Amino acid sequence: MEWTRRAFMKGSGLALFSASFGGTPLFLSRAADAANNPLAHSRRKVLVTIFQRGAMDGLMAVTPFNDPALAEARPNLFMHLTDPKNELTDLDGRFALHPSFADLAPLYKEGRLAIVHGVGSPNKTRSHFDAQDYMENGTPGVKGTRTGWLNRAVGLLGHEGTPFRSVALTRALPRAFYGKEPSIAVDDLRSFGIQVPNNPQAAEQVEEGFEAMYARSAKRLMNRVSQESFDAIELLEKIGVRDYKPAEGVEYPNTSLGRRMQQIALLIKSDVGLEVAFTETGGWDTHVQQGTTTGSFQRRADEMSKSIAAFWADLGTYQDDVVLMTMTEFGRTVHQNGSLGTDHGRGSCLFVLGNNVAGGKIHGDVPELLVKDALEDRRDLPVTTDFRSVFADVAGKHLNIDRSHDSGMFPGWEGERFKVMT
Amino acid sequence: MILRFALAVLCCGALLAVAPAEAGLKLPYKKEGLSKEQAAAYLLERFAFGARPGEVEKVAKMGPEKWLAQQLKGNLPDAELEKRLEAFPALKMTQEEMAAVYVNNGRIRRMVAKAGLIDPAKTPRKEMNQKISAYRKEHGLRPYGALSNQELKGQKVMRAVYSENQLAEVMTDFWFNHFNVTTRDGGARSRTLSYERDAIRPNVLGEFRVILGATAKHPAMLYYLDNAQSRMAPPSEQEQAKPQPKQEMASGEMGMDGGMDGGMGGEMMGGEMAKATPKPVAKPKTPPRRKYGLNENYARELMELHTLGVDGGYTQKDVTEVARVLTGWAAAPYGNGRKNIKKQMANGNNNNILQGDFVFRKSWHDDKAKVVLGEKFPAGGGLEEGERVLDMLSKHPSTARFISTKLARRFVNDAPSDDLIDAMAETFIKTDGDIAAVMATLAQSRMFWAEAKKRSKMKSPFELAVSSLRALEADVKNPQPMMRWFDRMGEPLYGYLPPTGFPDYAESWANSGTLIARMNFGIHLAAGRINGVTLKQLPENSGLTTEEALAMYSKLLLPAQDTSAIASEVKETVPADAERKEVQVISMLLGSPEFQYR
Repeated sequence: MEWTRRAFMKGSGLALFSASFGGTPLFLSRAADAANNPLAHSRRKVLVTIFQRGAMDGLMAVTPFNDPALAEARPNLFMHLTDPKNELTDLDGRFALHPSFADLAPLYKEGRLAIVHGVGSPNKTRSHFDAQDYMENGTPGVKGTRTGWLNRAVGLLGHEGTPFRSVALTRALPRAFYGKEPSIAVDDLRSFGIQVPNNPQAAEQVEEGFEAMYARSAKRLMNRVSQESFDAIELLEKIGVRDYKPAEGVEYPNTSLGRRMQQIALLIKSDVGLEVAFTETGGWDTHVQQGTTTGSFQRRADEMSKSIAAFWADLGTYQDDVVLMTMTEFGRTVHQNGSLGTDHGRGSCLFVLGNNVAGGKIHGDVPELLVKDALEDRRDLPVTTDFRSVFADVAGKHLNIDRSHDSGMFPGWEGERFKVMT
Repeated sequence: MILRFALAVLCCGALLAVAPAEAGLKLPYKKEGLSKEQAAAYLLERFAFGARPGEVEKVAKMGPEKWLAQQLKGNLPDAELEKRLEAFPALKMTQEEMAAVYVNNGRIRRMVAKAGLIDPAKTPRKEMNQKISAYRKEHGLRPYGALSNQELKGQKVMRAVYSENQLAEVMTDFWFNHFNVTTRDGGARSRTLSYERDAIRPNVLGEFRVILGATAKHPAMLYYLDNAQSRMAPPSEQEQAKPQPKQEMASGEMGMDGGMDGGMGGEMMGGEMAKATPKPVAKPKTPPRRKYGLNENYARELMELHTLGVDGGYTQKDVTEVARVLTGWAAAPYGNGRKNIKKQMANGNNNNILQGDFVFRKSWHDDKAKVVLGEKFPAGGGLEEGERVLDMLSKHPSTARFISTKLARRFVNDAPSDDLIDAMAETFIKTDGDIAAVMATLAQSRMFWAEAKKRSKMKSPFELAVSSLRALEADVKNPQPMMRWFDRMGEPLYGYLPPTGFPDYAESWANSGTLIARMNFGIHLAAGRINGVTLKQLPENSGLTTEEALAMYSKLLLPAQDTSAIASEVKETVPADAERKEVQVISMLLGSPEFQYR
C-alpha cells in the first residue's frame, strides 16, 4: 500500500476511524471547534529534535581537515582527507564529514542540511547533568527553571493541539518537555495501549471496561484524560503502528533510534497532530578508545546518520512540513587524552535538516588554527554561538513563533536569532 | 552505627515534639459523618501508603487517635522491614565507605591499569572488560550504578511497603521531594542514599530547623545545587583564575543512570573522583586549584523552594547576600584530605571545620559584612552566620505558611483553604517549626476530614504502586522490576531533575501516556507479570466467581467505600467462561479511577 496522505485518509486513517467509532475523536472535534485553530485536521509544521547524550565530539563529526594544530593535538584521532581509508566527505574545502555520517552528505549537497559549528552554552559547566539540564530547560546557569524550552515553545503556538502534539520517544519525560502543556512520553508507540500479557485477546474487553469506568467517574480530569487516552490508542491502531511499512526502498537501522525515528515518521505521515517530537541517543561520551573509522564514535554516528537519512526519505512529500534539529550538551577536548579518547569540552556542532533551512553550509565560527591560544580555556573548541540563538531561530521560524516571544521560549535571553533558516 | 544513631535521634526528637499533641488528639471525623472504619480507612490512605489486609479493622478497634499518635512518634518496632533491608548492604556504610566500594567505570579502569593488568589505550575492549570484572570480584568492589539503582531505589520501595512507621515513610517521601536532589546529577548520585538516610529520614517529624540544616550541609545538596563550588576567589588570584570543568558521568537516558550501552558509555576521567577527593589540604601554601566564584543556585532555592516561597519577601539582593554568607559551605573530602583536616583541627587550626561529611572552608568564605532580609551581619561571622541565616529563615512567617501550604496540599487537597493553612502556620510559629505538631493540627481540622468522601488527591505513581502492594500483601523479593513501571507512570524514583521536586497536584500526574501505564501496571501486577513480586492475597487456584472475587478484593483495595458502580462494570468485563476471574477483577479494580485517588 502506498502511503500517500490521500490513501491514508481513505484507507485506514481518520475517515475510517471516525466512522467506526460513531464520530470524530473527542480531541479532534475539540480542536476543530476551536476558532483559533486553522490547522485542525490539516498538516502541521513539525519540529523533530534529537538529543545526543554524552557530548558528541563535533571536531570528529565535522572535522577541519586542514588544521595542522588539530592534527598535532590528536595524533591518533585526526582524520586526514588524503588518506583514502578515511573516506571523508569534503563539504567546503575546510570541513569534512566523518564517513559514518556519509548518509547525510547528499542532504548537505542538496542544500537541505545545515551545520552549525562551535555551538554550545554560555555556561561553562563540563558536567553532563548540568549542561543537559541547561540545554533542555533553556536557561543556562539557572537550575530552578521549572519548565523545558520545548514545552514553552508548544505553549506559544497559539492554537489547540491533539494529544499527539508533543511526543517524546524516550523512556521518561525529557526535561525539555517539563511543563503545563500535555505531552506523551513513551519508549515505543507499540506499547501504548492496554496490554494483557497472558491473554492479548482480552485487551479489547478490558479496555472497554476501563473506558466505561472512566466515563462514569465523577472526576472531570479522569473523564477527559481517559477519553483522550483511549482515542489515542484507537488512533494508533488505525494508523497501523504495529505493522508500519516505511516508504519503498527506505530501511531504518534495526536499533532503538532507528525504531523511534520510524515511529516519528509514522506519526507525521498520519496527520495525528504532531508538532514537536523529541528523542535521544546515548553513548557519545568517548573518553576511551574513541576510534576513527571504527570504534565507539563510529558506531553511534553510523546509527544516527542512517536513522536520520531513512527518516527523511520516508517522509516523502511531508518533508516540507518537517525540520529536524540535533543537539548535544557540549563538545570534547581538542587534545586527545591518554586513553585515546577525548574529555569534556565546550563547543560542538549540530545539524539542522529541512527544506526551509539555509543548508549546504557550515555556519558559525571555528578558529582557523586550533592552537592553545585560540581555544576556550586553552583546551576546548570555543563556544561562538549560543545554542539558544539557533534553537530560537529553528523553532521560531518553523513553528511560526514570533520573535517577540523568544524571551518566553528562553527566559532571560536577549540575544538575536542565529540565521540558519531561510 | 549510623542507623542506630539515626534511629535514636528520630525517637527522641519525635517524642519531645509530639508529647503535647498525643495527650489530646481529637479527630473530628464523626462531625463529617464518618464511621470509625471510614475514618481508619481514610487515615491509612493519607497518613500511610494504604491499608494492608485487616488493617482498617485494626485501626478502628484501637482508635484512629491512638494510631495517629503512634505514627506521629514513628518509633514502632520494625522487625520485618529490618530483615528485608539486610539485602541492601550500603545502608550500613558511611558515605566514604560507599565511595570506596561502588566504583565507576573510569575509576576502576584506572585502578586496573595501575595494577598493570590493562593499558587503556591498547587493550582490546572485550579483554579490558573481562579484566575489570575479575578485578571487581577479587577486591569486593560493586558497580557504581548498583548504589543508586539497586540499593537506594530498592530500599525506598521496601520501606514504603513494609515499614510499620508509615507516616515517617510518607513524610520521608514528602521531605525528600521538598528538598529534592536527583541521582541523575553526577555529584549527588553516590550521595543520595546517605542524604535520604542521614539528612531526611531521621528528621521528618522533628523540628524544621533541623531538617533544613541537615540538608543544607549534606554533600548531595551541596553538589546538586553547586554550593560546594561557591567561593570568593582571593583578589590576588583573580587574574589567573581559570574555570574548572565540572565533569561527571553522562546521565544517559532516564532510568538508566549512566548504565549506557557497551558499558563504556558512562565514563569519568578525573571527574567524579576529582570532586570527591580534592587535593589534600595539607599544603596550605599551594594556591587552590579551583576558582569558582560565587554560585547563587543553592541560596536562591533555599529561599524560593525550601523556606520562604517565591513570593516570601526576599529580593535578588538577598539571594546574592545569602550566597555570600554560604561561601565555604562545602563537602568534606575523603581519605587523606579528611584526615588532614582532623589533624589541623586537633592542632587548633580552624581553617577548615569538619562536621561529619560537611566542611566549612574558611579560605573560601567571603568574610565581609552582609545584609540579609534587612538584618546586618558584621564582617567575620564565619560558619555561624550561615547558621544564623538558617535560623532566620526557619522562623520567618513566610516559611511557616509555605511549608504549611505544601503539607496541606500533600495531605488534604490540591488547593487547600486559607483557614487550614493559617491554623497550621500558627502552630508552626508557636512551636518553632515542630513538624509533628503541625501535622497534628492538620489531622484535627474539619477541612481534613471534609475531604474524606471526596477522595480528591490523585495518588502519585509511587503511592499507587505501593498501595497496591500493601493491599494485596505482596512479598517483594526483588523491587527492581518495579522501577520501569515508576518510569512509565511518570515518577522515575530519585529522577526529577529540577530542585522543585515532582509537582503535587492531579494534573501533573494525569496525561494520556501515564494513565494507560497505570492501568497496565495493575494488569501486570495481577497477572503475576512483575518479576520479584508475589501477592499473598492472590492464590494460584482460588476458584472464585466474579461476584466472590469482587466482594473480596473491593474490600481489600477500596475499603469502607461504596463500590457498587465499579462492581457492575467489572461484571460486564469479565467473561463468564474466564479462568481465574479474580485476576481480571483485581486488574480492573487497580486500574479503576477510584483506586487512582486517595
